[in-house]
Amino acid sequence: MNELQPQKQNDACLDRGLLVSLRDGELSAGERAQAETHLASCPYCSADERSMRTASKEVYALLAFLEPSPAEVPDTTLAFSALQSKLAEDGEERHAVRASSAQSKIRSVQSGKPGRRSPWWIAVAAVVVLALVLLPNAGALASEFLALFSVRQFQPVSINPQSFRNGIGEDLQNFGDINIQSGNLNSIQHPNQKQMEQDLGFKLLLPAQLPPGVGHAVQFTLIESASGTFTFSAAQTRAYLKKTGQGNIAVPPQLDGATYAINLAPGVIINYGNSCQSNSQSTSPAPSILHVQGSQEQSAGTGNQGQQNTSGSPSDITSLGCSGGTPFYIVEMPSPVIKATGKASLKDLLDFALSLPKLSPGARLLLQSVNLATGEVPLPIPPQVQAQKVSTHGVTGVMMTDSSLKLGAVIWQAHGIIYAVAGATSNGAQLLASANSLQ
Amino acid sequence: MDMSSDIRSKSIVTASEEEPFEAVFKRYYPLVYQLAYRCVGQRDEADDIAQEVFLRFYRTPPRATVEGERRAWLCRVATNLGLNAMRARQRRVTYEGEASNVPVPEEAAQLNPEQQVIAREQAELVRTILAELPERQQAYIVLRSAGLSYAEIAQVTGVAPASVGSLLARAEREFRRRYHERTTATKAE
Repeated sequence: MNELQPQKQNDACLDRGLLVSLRDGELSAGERAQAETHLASCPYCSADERSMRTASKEVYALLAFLEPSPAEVPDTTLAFSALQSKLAEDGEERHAVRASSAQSKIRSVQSGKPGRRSPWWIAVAAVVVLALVLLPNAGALASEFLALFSVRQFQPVSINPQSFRNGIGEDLQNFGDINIQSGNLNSIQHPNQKQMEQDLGFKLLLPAQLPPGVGHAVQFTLIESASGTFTFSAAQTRAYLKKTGQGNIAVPPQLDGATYAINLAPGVIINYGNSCQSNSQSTSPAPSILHVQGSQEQSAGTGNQGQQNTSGSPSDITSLGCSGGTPFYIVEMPSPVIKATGKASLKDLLDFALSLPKLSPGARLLLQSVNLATGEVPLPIPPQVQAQKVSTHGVTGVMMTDSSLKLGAVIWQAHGIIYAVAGATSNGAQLLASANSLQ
Repeated sequence: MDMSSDIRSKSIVTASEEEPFEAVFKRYYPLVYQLAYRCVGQRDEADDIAQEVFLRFYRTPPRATVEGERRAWLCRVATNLGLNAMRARQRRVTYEGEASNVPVPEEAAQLNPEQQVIAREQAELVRTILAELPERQQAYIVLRSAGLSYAEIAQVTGVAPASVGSLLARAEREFRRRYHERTTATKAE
């Protein structure tokens, strides 16, 4: 029987709709029994049913081509952050607002003035801005709402701080305006891990194994939401090019006004020590984070020593809230989400930056070190830091150690969350064991 | 800061329950995204559509008295926006000769180049045929292929649950007929 021309022999015969319902298990028990009884005795319907099943198999095999692979489904937490960002742009919600489930209070973020911008934020901005410049899907940037990008992997890149004139972000700052709106830090002792997780919107991983000498008291410090934008300015760029003797280089007109927005969802710093202060709900001033990031950024190495002014010494990092024992920290934060709007393609911007003969060698090296296909961004490693790729939690991360300062960190990204385990130890094996024990 | 401006804590109120917006988003985003993706086949575009669905939901929550109605509303808007985008692209391809620029899905990226081309062409062919079907048939097929039950399809499309089997059968048959028509014509060329 031709499936395309079903024939009904008599009133008791099953129409195609009934057969499809039977196939999909959508008939009631009574209807099903009746249909099956009829099929057992009617050769026409039985043939029709077989034909229908063959046809269905073909149809749904074709429709399977439309399914997204698991890897193509965006992380829900990141998608939610992007929606927050969108609402913020539309003026329906101030950026990066969030509720503290601990105290049922809403905390707003502070506008980051240049003078108050923390080195931690400069570091994050540097990484994010680099990622910005390297957004994938450059060809798709011709419409209003264009692309989302999140950091997925880190690639250690050895750099010489001297190869940057004014820090990693120097060249980008000459092309337009960077506006960082950074969040507060809030030291909150959450006796309940679930409470903290509710606050953050993702599951916290805690170490089953701590390096020797690390105390078991714990304190959580909340990193509030933050956001930033970079807007390309043709006038600013021309002025910079003229000033640096590159006035003969043309600025692609479509770059003017191109804007890239970054959104960072709330994260947490988990601090271990022999004892921790009970400064619940107190807003820590930005300097407290500087010390934490002193250990990590020494490793991450923004190369911007002049602006950072953080020693990164083990004694400094104890001021976050816990004291006694070997300082030890875990940072967990969603990958930055970056949205591009404007008329220019990111490739245009990247090509333009790389075409400048006087681009500092350090910036050039980093820009060339990004893998657009995998979301890999460079992790600048200064000379005194040893870095190597490591495998942890089924993904590739980077372990960095500084034996002169006895500092070390392991950083990786999994399931849309960036994890960093850092401490006052340069024993990589111990750090990696702790990183692997996160559960 | 006004508490009501926090989308995480904004409550979506129905006659029977009150639930934070964030919880609704996290529960339904994967489904909404999947429906959109089936229509457009591009991660960024599907995510844009999913975001638009939830923006509408946030701005004007549907008057749902039971959970199923909320789910149906989200699926309806996602399918409508997705199919609109699919048809719009199809029109551009047909009338303006716009080249198909659908990236190779990540999963397909692991195939060899020849297999990638075949997978991409097949997905495009399926969407082209889908876009040619009557609009309601497009919806039945997309919703069913995404795993919705007949009762859910009925709720999304507004037809009687008992009619879904027949309507789906007709849509499948029409899809298959057009597929064979097209592939036969291609072979003849």
